[in-house]
Amino acid sequence: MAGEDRKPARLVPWALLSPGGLWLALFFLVPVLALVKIALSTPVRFQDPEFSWDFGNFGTALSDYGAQFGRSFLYAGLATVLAFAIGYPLAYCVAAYGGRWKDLLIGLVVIPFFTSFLIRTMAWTSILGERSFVTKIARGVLGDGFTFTGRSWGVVGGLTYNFLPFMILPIYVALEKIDFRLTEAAGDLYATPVAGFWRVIFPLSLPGVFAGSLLVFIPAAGDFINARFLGSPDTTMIGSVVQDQFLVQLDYPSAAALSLILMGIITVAVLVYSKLFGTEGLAA
Amino acid sequence: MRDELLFRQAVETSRALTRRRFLRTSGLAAGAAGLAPLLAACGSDSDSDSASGDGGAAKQDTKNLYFANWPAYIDEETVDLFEKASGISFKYTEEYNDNNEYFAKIQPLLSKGRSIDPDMLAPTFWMAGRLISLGWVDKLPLDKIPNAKNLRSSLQKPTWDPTGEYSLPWQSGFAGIAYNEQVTGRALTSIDDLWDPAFKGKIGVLSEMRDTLGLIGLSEGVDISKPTAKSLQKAIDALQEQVDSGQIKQFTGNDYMDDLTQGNFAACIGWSGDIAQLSKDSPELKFVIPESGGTLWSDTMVIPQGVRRGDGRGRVHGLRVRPGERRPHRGLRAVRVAGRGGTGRAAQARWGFGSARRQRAALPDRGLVQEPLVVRTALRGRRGGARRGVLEGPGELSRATGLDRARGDGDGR
Amino acid sequence: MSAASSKPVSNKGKRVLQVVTALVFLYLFAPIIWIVAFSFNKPTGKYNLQWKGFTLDNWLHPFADADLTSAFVRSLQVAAVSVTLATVMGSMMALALSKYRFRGNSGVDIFLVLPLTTPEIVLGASLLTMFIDFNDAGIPTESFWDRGMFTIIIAHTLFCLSFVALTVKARIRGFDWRLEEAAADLGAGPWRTFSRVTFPLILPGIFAAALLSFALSIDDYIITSFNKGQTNTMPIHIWDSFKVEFRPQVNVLASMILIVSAALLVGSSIVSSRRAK
Repeated sequence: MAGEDRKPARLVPWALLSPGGLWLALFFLVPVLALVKIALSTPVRFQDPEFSWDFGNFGTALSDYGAQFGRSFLYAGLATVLAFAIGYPLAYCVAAYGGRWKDLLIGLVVIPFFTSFLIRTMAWTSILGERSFVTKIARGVLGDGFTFTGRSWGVVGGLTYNFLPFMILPIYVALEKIDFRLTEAAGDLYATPVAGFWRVIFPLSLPGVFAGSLLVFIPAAGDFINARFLGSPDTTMIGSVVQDQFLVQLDYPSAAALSLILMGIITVAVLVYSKLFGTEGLAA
Repeated sequence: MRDELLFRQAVETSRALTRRRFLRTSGLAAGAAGLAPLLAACGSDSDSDSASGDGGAAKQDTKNLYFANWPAYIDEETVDLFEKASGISFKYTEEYNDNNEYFAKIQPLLSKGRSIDPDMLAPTFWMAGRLISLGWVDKLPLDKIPNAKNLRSSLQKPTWDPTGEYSLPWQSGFAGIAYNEQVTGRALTSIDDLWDPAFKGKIGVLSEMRDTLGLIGLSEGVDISKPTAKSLQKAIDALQEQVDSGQIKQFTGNDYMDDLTQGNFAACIGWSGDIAQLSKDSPELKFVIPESGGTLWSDTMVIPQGVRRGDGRGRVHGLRVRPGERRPHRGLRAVRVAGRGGTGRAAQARWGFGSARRQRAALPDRGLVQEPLVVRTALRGRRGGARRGVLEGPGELSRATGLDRARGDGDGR
Repeated sequence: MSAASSKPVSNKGKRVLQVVTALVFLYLFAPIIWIVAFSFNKPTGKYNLQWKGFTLDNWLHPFADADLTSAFVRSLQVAAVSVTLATVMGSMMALALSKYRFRGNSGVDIFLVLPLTTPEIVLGASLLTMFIDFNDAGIPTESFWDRGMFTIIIAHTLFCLSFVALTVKARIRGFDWRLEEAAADLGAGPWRTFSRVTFPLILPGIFAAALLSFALSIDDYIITSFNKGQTNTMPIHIWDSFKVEFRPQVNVLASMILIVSAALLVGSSIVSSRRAK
C-alpha cells in the first residue's frame, strides 16, 4: 500500500477529509445536538421553545404515540420482507441468467426511480384508485368492499415499491460475485437444486441481503408519504406525526423527542442486526 | 347579540347564492378591488432583504399584489380582469389549505417581526383573531377602502377584531356534510349517515377540528357552545372510534374537493362554498347541514405585517399569548336546526339554506371552541396520569386533545 | 449423472424465475407507464388522474405552468450545486479512506454511514432545529440561516456527501495503488501522478456516484420540506399544488427527467464498460 511515512504525507488524508468532515460535523452532528436541546425544551405558544431540561417530552412522546411507533416498525418490517421476497428472485435471475444483458437489466431496475417519488406514489393512487380497472378486477376476486388504498396493505405495498431498488441492488452486487458453477458442484453434492441453493448460494449472498434490508427498513420506518397517499388515519406512521408536529403544530419539543426516539430505536436495531449478521455488506 | 346578527347576515346573503354572487351583492368584491393598490403600497415598505429566500424583492413596488387565498373562491378569469382593470400585476394563489398548516408556514417569520411574501391572506375568523392578537397583521388603510362603510354594523367590529381595523370579512358559509350522490346512492342527512358501514374507508373529515369536532359534537348532543373537557370528550371518542374502525379515510384541509369529486370519498365534512362551486361541474355533489346542526365559518381578509421593528426579532413578551389570555373573542357559532326533519330534500339540494329560515342560531356569547385551544386548556389540567385522548391524524386533533402542550398558567414556568 | 437428472428441474425453475422477474419488472414500471401515458392525457378538470383523451398539447407546451417550471428549474439548480459540492468533498473523503491508513479510519467510516442510517425525517428535522436555533442566537446574524435555497443546498449536499463518499470508496476499493508508485518511479510529481493516473481511473466511479446523487437530490421531498422556507423545489411544488390541481405538465417534466437520466445512465454504462476493456 501507499505506506509513505514522510511527515507531510501523514497530513494528506486529513486534508482530504477535512472539507467533507467539517460539513458532516456542522450539518449533521450539530443539528442532532440542536435536536437534543429542543427535545429538552418547553414549548412556548407561537414562539420558540425555551430550554429547560424537560425530559417529559420523551415520556409523553412514547406514551402518546406508541401505536404509531409500533405500526411504523411493523410496516417497515413487512415492507422489508416483501421487498426481499420480490427482489431476490429478480436479482438472482439477472445475476445468474442475465448474460450480456446484465448491466442493462439492472439499469432497468433503477430507471423508474429517476422520476419523483411523489409522482410515482400519485401514479399508484390513480392506478389503484376507486375507478381504476385494477381495482375492479381485484373486487371481482376479493369482494365488493375491497380497496387498495386507505388500508395497511396499501401503505406496505407503497413502501415496498418505493424502496425495492435498495434491496435489489446490494443483493445483485453480492450475487454477481458468485461463480454460478457452484450450483453445479452443489448439484453433485446435494439431492436437489433447491437444497443446493440454500446451502451454497444463499449464504454467499447474505451480505447483500443484510445491506438491502437496512437500506429498505430505515427509510421505510421514517416515511410518511406512502401513509399519506395510500393510507388512512388508522395507518398513520411515526413520520407523519413528526412532520405534523414540526410543520403544522409547531410543537418542536415533542417533534424533536419523537425524532430522537426514532433515531435511537433504529440505531439499536441496526447494531443488534449487525451483531447477528455482520457488517460486511453495508458499505458495499 | 352581534354573533346572531352575523349569523343572520351570513344566512341571508348566502341563501341561494353562489359564493361569487355573494361577493358581488355584499359589495365585498369592490372592497377587495379597492384594497389592492394600498395593499401594494402599504405592505411594502419592507426592506426587501427578502425575508423569504427569493422573490421578496418584488414587494418594493406598488405594481404587484399577492393574495394567498383558499381554493374555489374566485373564477380564474377574475384575476385577469382585475389585472386589466387595475394595471396591477396580481398573483393569486390557492395555497391556503388549512388554517393551522398555513399558520405554521408563516409563523417562523412573523414571530420574528419579519414579513412574508403574500400581501393579503384569508384566514378564518378565529385564525384572524389569533393573528390580530399576536400583532402579526397590519392595520387596513380603511380610509382608502370606502366600501368598508357599507358593511352591516355587526361586521364592522366583529368579536375577533374588536377595533375593526385589522380585518374585513371575505366570505361566510357553513360546515356540513358534502357527499357524492353517485357513490352514496342516497341522500345523507345526519352525521350518523357518515358512519354507515357501506361507506367504510370512504369518509373524509376536516383537519379543521373546530368544524369536525363541532359537527360530531352536535350529533352527540354536546352543547358545543359551552364545551367542557368531559362533554367534548364524547365527540373526540366518537371520532376516534371511526378512525380506529377504518371508517375515515383521510383528514383533509380544503383538498378534500378532489377526493370527493373523484369518488374516493363517498362523503365528507366539507364547506358549503366549495360544493357550491364544484356542483356546477359535478351536479352529483351535494351539501347538507346535518339534522343535528352545522357550524358557521367566516373567512376574513388581513394584511400580514411588513417589517415592524428595527431590532429584527420583534419578540415582545407581551405577545406571548397563553391560553385564556388576550383572547378577545370566543364562541364557535353554531347553527342548530330547530327540529328534526328540518332539512327536507328540496332544501338539501340547495345545501340546506332553504331551511335556514327555520334554523335558529345557538349562539352563545362565550365559551365555544372558537380556537380549538380552549378545548385544550380545559383538558390540560388533567395532565399526568389522567386520560389523555390521543387521536390520530393531523393537526388539530392532537391539539384539541391536549397533545400540544403549550403551557398555560400554572404550568410551572 | 445427478446433474443430468436435475437439469429439467432447474430448467423449469429457471422458467418460473424468469416469469417472476418479468412480473417484478412490470410492477416496477407500472407507475412509469402511467406517468408517460398520462402526459398525453387531456384532463377535463384540474386533476390529471383519469384518462379523458389523447393530446400532444402537453408536450408542445411543457412549460405552460409557470410555477411548476420555476420549481423545476430550481430543483435543477439545487441538484447541480449540491451534487458538485458533494462529489468534490465526498470523493476526497473516499480517496483519503481507501488510499491511506491512519488512526481514526474506522471512526470516520462510521461517521460517514451515520447520515445514511438516520431516517430522512430526522435529518430534515435536526437541520431545521439548528437553523432556527442559530438564527435565534444570532450566529452569525439573525437571518443568516433563513430557510430558502441556501438551506436546501446545505441539506442536499449533506445527504449526497455520505452517499458519494461511500459509493466512490466502494468503487475504488480494488484500485491498484502500485500504479501510482510506478508513475512516481517514472518521475511524475504527486499532482501529475494524480491527474494523469489516479483521477482518470477513478473517474467513472465518481461519475456514477454523482449521477445517482443527482437523482437523490432532484427527488427529495422529506428533507427539503423541512428546510425550504418559502422556496419551492419541484417535489415540493407538486405536493403543495396537488391540493388544488395536478397538471399533465407534471407528467411531461417527469418524463423528461426520466428520459435524460435514462440516457445518461445508459451512456455512462457504455463508457465504463468500454473503459473496462
